[in-house]
Amino acid sequence: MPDRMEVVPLDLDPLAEQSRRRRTLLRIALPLGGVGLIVGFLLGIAVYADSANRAGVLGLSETLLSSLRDRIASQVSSYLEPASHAILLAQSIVGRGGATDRAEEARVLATSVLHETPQIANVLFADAAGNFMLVRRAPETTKGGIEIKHIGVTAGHRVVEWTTRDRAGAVVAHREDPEDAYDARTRGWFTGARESDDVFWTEPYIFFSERAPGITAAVRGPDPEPDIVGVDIRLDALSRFLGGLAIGRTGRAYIVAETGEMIAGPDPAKIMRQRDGKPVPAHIDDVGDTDLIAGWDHFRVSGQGTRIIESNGRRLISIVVPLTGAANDAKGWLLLITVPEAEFSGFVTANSQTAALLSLVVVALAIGLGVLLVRQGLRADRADRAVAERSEAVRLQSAAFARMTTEAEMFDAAGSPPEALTETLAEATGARRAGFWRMVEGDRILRCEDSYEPATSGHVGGLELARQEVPALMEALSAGMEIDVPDARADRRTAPLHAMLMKHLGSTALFVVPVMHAGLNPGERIAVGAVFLEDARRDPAARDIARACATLIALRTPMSATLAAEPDARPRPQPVAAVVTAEQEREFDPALTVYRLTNAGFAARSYPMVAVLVLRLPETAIALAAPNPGQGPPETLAHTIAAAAQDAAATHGIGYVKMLGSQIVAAAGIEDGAATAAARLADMAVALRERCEALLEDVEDPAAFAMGLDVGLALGGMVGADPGIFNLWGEAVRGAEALAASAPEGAIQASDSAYGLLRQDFLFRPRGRFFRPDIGESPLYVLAGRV
Amino acid sequence: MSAIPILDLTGARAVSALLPYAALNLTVSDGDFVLIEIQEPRNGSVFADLCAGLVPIDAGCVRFLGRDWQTTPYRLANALRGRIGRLFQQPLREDTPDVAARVLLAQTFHTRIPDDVLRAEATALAQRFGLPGLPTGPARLLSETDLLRAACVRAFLGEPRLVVLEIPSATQEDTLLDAVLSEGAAARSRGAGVIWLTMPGPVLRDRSVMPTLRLRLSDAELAPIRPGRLVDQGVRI
Repeated sequence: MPDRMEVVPLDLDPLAEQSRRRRTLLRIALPLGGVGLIVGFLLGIAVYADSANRAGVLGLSETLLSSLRDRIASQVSSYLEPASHAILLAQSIVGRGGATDRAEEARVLATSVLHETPQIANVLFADAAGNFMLVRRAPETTKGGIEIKHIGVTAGHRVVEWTTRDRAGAVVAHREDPEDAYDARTRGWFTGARESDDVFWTEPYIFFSERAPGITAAVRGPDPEPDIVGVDIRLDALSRFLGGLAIGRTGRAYIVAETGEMIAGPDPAKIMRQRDGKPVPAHIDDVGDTDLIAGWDHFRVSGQGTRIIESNGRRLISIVVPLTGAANDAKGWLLLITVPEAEFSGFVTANSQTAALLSLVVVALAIGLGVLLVRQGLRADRADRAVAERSEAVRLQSAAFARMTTEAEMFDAAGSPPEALTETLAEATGARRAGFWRMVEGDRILRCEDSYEPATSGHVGGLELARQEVPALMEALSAGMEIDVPDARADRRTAPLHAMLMKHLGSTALFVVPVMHAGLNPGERIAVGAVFLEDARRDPAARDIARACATLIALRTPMSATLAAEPDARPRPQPVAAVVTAEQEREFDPALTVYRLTNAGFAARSYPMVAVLVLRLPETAIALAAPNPGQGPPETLAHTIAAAAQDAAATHGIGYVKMLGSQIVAAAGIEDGAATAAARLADMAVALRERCEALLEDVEDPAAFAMGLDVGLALGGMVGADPGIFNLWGEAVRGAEALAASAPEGAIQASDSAYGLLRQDFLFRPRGRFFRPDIGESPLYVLAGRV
Repeated sequence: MSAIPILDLTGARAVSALLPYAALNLTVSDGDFVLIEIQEPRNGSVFADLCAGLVPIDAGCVRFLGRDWQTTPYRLANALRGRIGRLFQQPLREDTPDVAARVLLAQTFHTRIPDDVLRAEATALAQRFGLPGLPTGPARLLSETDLLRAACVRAFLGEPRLVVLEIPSATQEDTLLDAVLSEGAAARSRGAGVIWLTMPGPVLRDRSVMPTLRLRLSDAELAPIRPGRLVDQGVRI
């Protein structure tokens, strides 16, 4: 049976296969699932530990930064608070007339304030009339002295005086400055203080003389036209303070106004910028600190608070909060702190990476163990199956040996084994065919004593193989060699056997065990036969059973059979192939002959368009006696039909008519071509059909006669000794024979080529389209008659 | 020596008015030829459907090659049906556009046999059934006899394990009969089983038709016509 190459394999039990797949899946899925769980747990632990550590560190860092923020607020508050106390004190002591009537008291107080409060640069007194007094520290040359600028307005006359006093209060220098047009009433601190019930703080600005940022705090008296007392406070000390803070490694803190103007920062040089040639407080965008700008932008979008932001691919802790404190609340200043998160939690990341790397080792170990477990599981399954198969094989083997023991008594006198032995052998080895072959006539013939096919439960015997047919196999058997080939076609010894026997069964593997019998001479072993197994199980148990079977046969083989297998029992005939001439070989295959049409040595003549008619007659019917109206001896219907064919051929000028067996062959076109020959032959066919119908009409059991008509290439030549006859063969003859063989009863079946030549003059009925060997697909017709 | 029968009906009771009320029991083993006499062609068709697992059953089971049709997965059941060659009561419809494709369809669908090999096998089989070759083209071009032959080619193509022939009115005079007997014998020699469903007629009396089991499918039961197996006389197919 050829391999059907089924799309769905039917040999597998779907439920068993499903169970096997499920088991295999479990074998694989469970360990892999375990590895997955381990990996998942490790990953989860790593993520949790990282996030928890990070959160903890960030919590600590927030606490730290919160303390820092409070410290800064406290510092700023303590920096500014003395100034506000000073002006409140001055206001309460001096009251009205600080720039006029009580100028001297004011000067003494201001001098004291300047000496005690270094962050205060100037002390200011002004009234609504335009009088003004400024007290500030004198240059270093005066050793603790002060400078007083006094603007007095009397009856519309304005006098500006600068007086320098030493530390003891003595006047060192005095000058007037008529060019000075300063008017305190136009200044922000004056107007702001008049509008405020509390200490009024100006926006930060740059002190012109000191080139330093500062602010002015001022307070008014209770009168309707109050005097104003103020102090100028330098802020550069705050910048120095911020610059000295250590926030992580690179963290920075800034104090800015709500408008984004810088008040203090770690780098005092960046606090100012030039506008229209004058120094003004720098804006945040002018500082050039991208971290600061990012924090400021987030503040503007999300408001104040502590948050993690991204800047330049780094995570930053950004804190933007109002600067609180007794002296700070009214000013609306903001404290900005930016510090890279990694500077606080960097060690957490590093530790997490290290832990992850260590976890990878654990994962790798788990994967390795999982793979090992899968492999072991699958191996265990395979081992289970192998054990089961082996157990089954052992069971079969045991049963086979038991049966063989019984069957040993069933050998006949000539040593021929019982049929049951090959059945046992086939069942125990799973062979597609099991047989015992015996060597006879010396070692020239290998005869099949018994061959058994389990598929059909059929026994075959009597087949003989000559040494010339399987020489290498016979040589190997004579030498006592076992043959075990998975593909008999590929082995020189077994290829001929495969072509002759195995191919038809569809088997490929072959295992042959010679049956060796003791010879006449001591120690001599003679091959008397062989055990053949086709497509048997390829395991040692099957081989052992075959060997045991061979041994059993050898034991039961009588000496006479051994002598028959002696190599020199009979002279060997010459190999048949040696007497076949090359000429004979060439004639074996007509197709080969046609192929050699162009060969110079080709003797037959080719006829490209010959019409050939083949009449197939019923074998039994033509043996009957033909109707005989006369008194002569009865003739067969075969004779009568042959005579009718001769008449029809003569009538229609057909020169080639022959009868062989139950078949009549007529041909035309050998001399004159196919143009008229086909029509003449068709006429003959119609006439012959009518004659046959008439002759077979009275036959009680009329069997079918049928005709085939074809036109095509044919080969011809004289054959036989003198005088010889002309013989025709080739494609057209074969075609007509095939058409006659498949024609409907009593019909003339014509090929497509015949139809093409005859359709103008004859009636045809289509039979259909058919795919034919060596021809392909073509329509066929049934010739009905002449038009 | 296969222990599993090709077809095994064990107490099968089907849901069909065209089948007997009694439970059906039948075993077809390798090489068996079962000739079943039927009352009506339709009864034969339904019984053939039952064998092919196309009729649901109430009780019992129908096994093909050891597989219960009721529990066999759909895909495998279809593949198993590919191993059943069947000659239907109405062989090939006249409106079949391509007879060759219809003949080769089952093997083309169920196997990976190359087309040229399959076509060559079908052509040889067609010639053995009296056709010039494998019919191609539309079925309307063929005669009824040739269509029946083509259907026979389809039934025996691919070395089926079970051949179910529905030839209700076959007679010994049918020229096709010899070819069917010959191919049936060849199939059995390969280990296939053959079931022939036919109406009472000459075939049942023909001694050249030598089944291993003769049964009658009546309204009541599926019962042997003559008990025992017939192996001692006549010409076996």
